[in-house]
This record gives sequence, structure tokens and C-alpha cells, in this order.
Amino acid sequence: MSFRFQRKYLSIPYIVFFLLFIIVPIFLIIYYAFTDKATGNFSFINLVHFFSDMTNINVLIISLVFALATTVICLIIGYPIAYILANKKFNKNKVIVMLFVMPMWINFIIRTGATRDLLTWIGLGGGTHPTFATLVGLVYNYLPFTVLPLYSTMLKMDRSLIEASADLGANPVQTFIKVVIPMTMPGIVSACTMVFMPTISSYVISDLLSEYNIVLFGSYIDLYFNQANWNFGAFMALIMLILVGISVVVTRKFSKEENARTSLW
Amino acid sequence: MKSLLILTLSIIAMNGFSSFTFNGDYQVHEKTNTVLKANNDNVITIYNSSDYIDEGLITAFEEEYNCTVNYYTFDTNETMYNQFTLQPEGTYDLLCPSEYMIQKLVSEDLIVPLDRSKLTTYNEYAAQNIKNKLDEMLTTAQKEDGSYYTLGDYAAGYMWGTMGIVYDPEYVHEEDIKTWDIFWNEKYHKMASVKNSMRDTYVVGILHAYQDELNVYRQKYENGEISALEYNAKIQEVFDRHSQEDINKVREELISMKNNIYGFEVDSGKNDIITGKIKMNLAWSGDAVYSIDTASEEADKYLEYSVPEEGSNIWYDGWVMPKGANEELAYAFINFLSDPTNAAINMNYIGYTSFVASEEVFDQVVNWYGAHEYYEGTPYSAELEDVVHYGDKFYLCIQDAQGILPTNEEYFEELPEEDWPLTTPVDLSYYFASNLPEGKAALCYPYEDSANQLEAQYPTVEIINRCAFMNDFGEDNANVVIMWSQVKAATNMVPYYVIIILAIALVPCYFLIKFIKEKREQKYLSDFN
Repeated sequence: MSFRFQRKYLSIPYIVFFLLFIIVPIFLIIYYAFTDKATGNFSFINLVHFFSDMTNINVLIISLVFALATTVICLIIGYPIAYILANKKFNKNKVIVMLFVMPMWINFIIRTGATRDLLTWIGLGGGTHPTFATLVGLVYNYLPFTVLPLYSTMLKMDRSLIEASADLGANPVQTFIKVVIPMTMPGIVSACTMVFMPTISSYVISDLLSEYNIVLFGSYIDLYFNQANWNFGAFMALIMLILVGISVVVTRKFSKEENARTSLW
Repeated sequence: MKSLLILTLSIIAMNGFSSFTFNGDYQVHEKTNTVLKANNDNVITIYNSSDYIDEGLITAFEEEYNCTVNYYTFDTNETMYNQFTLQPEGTYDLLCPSEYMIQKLVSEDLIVPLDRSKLTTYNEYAAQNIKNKLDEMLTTAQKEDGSYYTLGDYAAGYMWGTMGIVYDPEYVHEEDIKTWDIFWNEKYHKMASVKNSMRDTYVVGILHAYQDELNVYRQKYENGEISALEYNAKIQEVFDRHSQEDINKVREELISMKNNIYGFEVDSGKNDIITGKIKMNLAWSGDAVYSIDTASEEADKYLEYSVPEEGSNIWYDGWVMPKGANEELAYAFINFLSDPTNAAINMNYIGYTSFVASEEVFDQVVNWYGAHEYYEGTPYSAELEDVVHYGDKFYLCIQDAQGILPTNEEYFEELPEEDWPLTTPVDLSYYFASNLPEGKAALCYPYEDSANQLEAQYPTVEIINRCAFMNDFGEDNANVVIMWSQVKAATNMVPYYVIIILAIALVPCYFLIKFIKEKREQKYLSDFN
């Protein structure tokens, strides 16, 4: 028996990885989500339990609001930054871009620990201002994820179109709304997804910075896993998976539809 | 096929590299098997809380018994349970969970009773009164005669302690700290943090919910109407309440507490109180000792520990043996840790209170906190810098002395009165009486600022009497988890509802505007045409 190397064998590691770390875990989540903890039989008890207690839905709403707020704040802060950075006058050596990305070199748990001390020091700690502290932590952590995609789209932006709009009589505000934003839409969409998806499931940042006063969906799931209730935890993880899935589909569709002519702007 | 052969060969070679010979497959096979088997007899896998042993002792144990110790750690009992139950039987040889988790493991038939006759060193040196406490706690496993196994049948105690509040006396009034009500006290708004732990917080909730009832028992006890034993039984009965009605009560209590405290913490509280982020912290006695100690050494801050008067929780961690464990080494390890000298080393490292109450531990504790009493009879000895109480004066040892009276000026120096420890001693005989040699009094004269720390480590009998243990919730655990998740999630939802409704309302608005714009554009284009 001779072994003949074929090119398709190169894909084996990827297939193994794919099965082991993506497909199998998803099936495990689905399996646990639809079995009863006590008997181990197929049941919808977790679903009934989830929707019969308002607390569960409240936690989901809190997480959604935090994810939305973080995304909006990140965009408001990140968009002008990216715009300035993409201007070659200000950012000759790309040093400033590096400065913005630099916090990502440090592990986020260490960074969050430092943020916690800093906020307490200026009197805005999580014990007294849990919502504010959590938002600061989330925005701080995900801002680089907003700046980078926006920065790369803005670099590729055709600047002659901006000059053209000025030539045709648009004032700077009109130029910005009618030309710059539509051109950077792909960057905005990918920035939004890159912030929204991880924040909806993040929990270490909110736990540490709000002194456990604010419970996001991730830490709510963790609470049940910790108490060895894998089934209910898995069901909530499934809900989160579906939510993230919906947000991906929506943004995809949005970014496809959105072009200069039919734009809202 | 060829590559498979190479792989097999290399695995075999790795297993027994030095003894690898080409004498045919069979022999090689046998060889690797014996190597593996010998390994199993000589290996013990221990699963303990993190930072809960002086790791030098593990090395010492490996040398003494010529074995390998696989030492793994966990952060909470729940993590331990999840990890332990996922592994196949026989993975771990010794676990060190808390009392309620031991009950849970017993009820799920995961651990085996210990053979008490093999715990020789432990039997000899562990404090009798604390061991008895373990035997008061029942498990759900039944013996042949119908009685229940106690916790002491399954576990060899390791460390124990109480739960209380560490506080900064500069900000917190001594009168207020005597009751759990302090967490609800408006005067201390956003000053306290409690454990982010369902069970510990449940204790606070249930004690506060039945505060009035407990105060009545306390009154009766103080008036001598009920004995200490009856008083303790009453508190225990309150602790064991977890019907749905009680759980609802605790939920209300904890939600209102949540609005008044600074927050919850997992492990940061013991340092936060030193840095001053918080002024009060719900703490286990061992962590309290750590906080008090570190604060006075590093931050020049004086902290105190108090066990509220309504009652509190007394907890135990113990070594238990899962099914299929390497029994011989497991018993050896428990006995090794109970060795009087090793226990003293270990306690010095961890800061928690050991079950072992040997003379060595006593000497160490007394020297930490203050002066010991001179004694006759057994060979008396004092080391350099020891402080001794003799007659009604205190003496400082300036040269190691054996059997010498403290009045001897060559070995001792009289302490000036302003340097004296407190003149009323703390009696530690409840813990040490049975293990101290005859003639040696279990007394400690603590310094004024370490008296409280000594009390945290070795509570008075008075405090022990008002502490009860926290049994496993059993069937009701699921309901308590739901209650706890509701407490954690409780917040003012109105702003969240408003924002989410606004966000949802934006979606139709978007399509509406887009629709209008398209219509206009079409009109414009058709006009143009």
C-alpha cells in the first residue's frame, strides 16, 4: 500500500478544527438547550422557563441596550478620529494610528483592572456610577475595532469626489453627508458589527467595572453554568447565538442595499 | 501504513526510552505496561483551592514518599464540582471542597467514606471540639443501621473559619457593626461590598429577614432561659430555612441591600478594603486576617473584624476521597498535612485557621499576637524576642532559654509597662487544651492592636455558639439559583425599556423615509423625462 500525497489532504487540519471547535460545540449547545436537566429527555422546559420569567428578558434587554449604546458612542468618537487619521497631513508616519491601537497590545483584563482603579480614583467608579463605568470600559475596549475598519476604508476613499462635490456647489456639511458618509458606508457597517457582536456577549468588563452591579447576558449565562445548570445556560447561549446571527444577516443586507443613490443621506 | 508504524515505534520509544530493545514486540509491550502501572501507584492527583497550601510541603511530601504529586487548583467549589464531574472516575485522588459541597458530593455518591483508623496523625493533632462540629453535620448517606453518615465520616478537616465583616473603624461606628443591618444602613450608603457568592449572600439575607426572631433567642440566651446548645440549635434552624416563601423573603432583602451597597466582589474585596475603595467587606475569617495584616503592614491602616451578634456562618474545608482514589497515598497526604510542624508551616503561609491544634501551632499563634504564659512542669523554653508573662509582669527574652525563670537577667529583660500587651489573657483552651503538655496554659496575652485579629483567627466560644453551618440546599438549590439571578439582575428597567423602544421605532422610520425619498426621486426622474 503506497501513500500518495494529494493536495486535498492539506485541508484535513482545517476540517478537524472546523468539526471540533465549531460544529460539535454548536450541536452540544443545541442538545443541552433542548434537554431537561432532571431527566435528560428532550423537552422545551428551558424555553418555557426562559420566557416565563421577566428577569431573563430584562437581562437580554439590558445587554442589547448596552451593545447599542456602545456601538453608537464608538461610532461618534471613532468616525472623526478615523477621518483625521486618514488625512495624510496629520498622520505622516502612522504613529498616531499606532497610538490608538496600542492599548490592544495589553491583555484586556489587565487593562480593565487599571481602568477600574482609574475611575475609582476620579470618583466615577462602578460602585457609585455602574452604568457610566461600564460604558467607559466597553467603549475604551472596542474603540480600536471601530477606528481600524473606518480608517482603512477612508484611506481608499477617492478624494477627488470630495473636490468634485465642492466644485458642484455643495457646502462642507452637504459634502460630508452626501459624499463622505456613503463612500465610507462599508467601513461603518463593519465597524458596527465588530463592536455590536462582541459587546452583546461581553461580561468580564461589565462585571469588573460595575462591581457586579450590572449583569449582562454573558455573565447571566455564566451564573447558570457555574451552578451546574448546563441546560438553561445552553438555551440562553443559543438565544444569544441567534441574536448575533440576526445582526449579521441584517448588516449584510444593509451594506448590500446601501449605495450612493438609494442612500438615506 | 509505514507512517503508522513509525508513529507507534516512536511512542513506545518515548515511554521507555532507556530500556528500549529490539527483542521483539511482545517484550517491549510488556515493558511499557509495567512502567505505566508503577507510575500509577506512585502518583497522587490533588485538587485544591488556589493559594491554599504552602507548595513547599508538596515537594517535601514527594521526597518523603518518593512519589509524584499532580497538584491542580480551582477558584470556587462550583468550578471544582463542574471539573470533577466531567473527568472520568479515578482522575483525582483527593479533593478539598467546603462542607456543603461535601454533602452534595455524598448525595450524588461521588466520594467514599474515610477509614478513620488510617488518619492517625490527624486524629492525634486536630482540635477535638472542631472535629466534633464536623460530626454534627449530617449527610444524606445512610449507614446499615439506618443512621446517617456524618461529614466527619467522609472528610478530614483542613481549614475552618467564620464569616463576618472586615471594617475600617475610622468610618464605621462600632455600635453599628454589631448587626447585619449595617448593609441596609443608609448611613453607610455605597460603602460595603459583599461576596458575589450565592450561598454567602443568602446567609446574610436570611439572617436579616429573621433578625427580630434571632434577637428574641439572643435575649433568652443572655437571660439564661435557654442554654448555649439550644441557642445554637435555634440559629441552625433559621439557617436551614429555604422554602419558597423564605427564598422570596431573602430576595426582597437582598434586592433592597443591593441598592445600598457598593457592589459585589469575587476576590478583590480583601484588597479593596486596604486601598480604601470600600469601608466594609463581607469576608471569611482567613481573608479578614489577610486584610488586617496587610493593611497594618503596607498601608499603615488599622482594620477590624466582627461577627455580627444575630449569628453567622461557620465553615469547614476538608479533604475527601473520590471513588477509585489511590487510598494509600491519599491517607499519607492527609496525615502529612496534619503533622504538627507541617500544619504550622502551612498555617503561616495561608493565614487561615487549621484544624490541627498542636503545640507547634499554638506557639506560633501566640508569638504572632502577643505573649505566652510561663509554665512549670514540662521543659519550659523561650526563644529570642519571645514575650513571657510571669507573676504580674512581662519579660522579653534576649537569649534562647530552656527551663529558666524569666527573672533571670542574663536571659530576660523586664518590659517597660508602656510596651505591655493586654493584661487580660485570651483563653484558647477550647482549641488547644487536649494537645498541650501538662502545665502549659492555653493562654495568650495579645497586644492591643492584634487582639481583634486573634479573635478572627480563633473566635471566642461565645462567637462559636452563635455560628451555624450552611447545609446544602438539596432540592431547593434550583430555586435559590433563580432567586440569586433575579437579585443580580434587579435594576430600574425604565430607561432600558425607553431606549429599546426608541431603537425599535427607528427601524420603520428608516424604511418610511427611504420610501418617501424613492418616490420623490422617481417623480423627479419622470418629470425630467
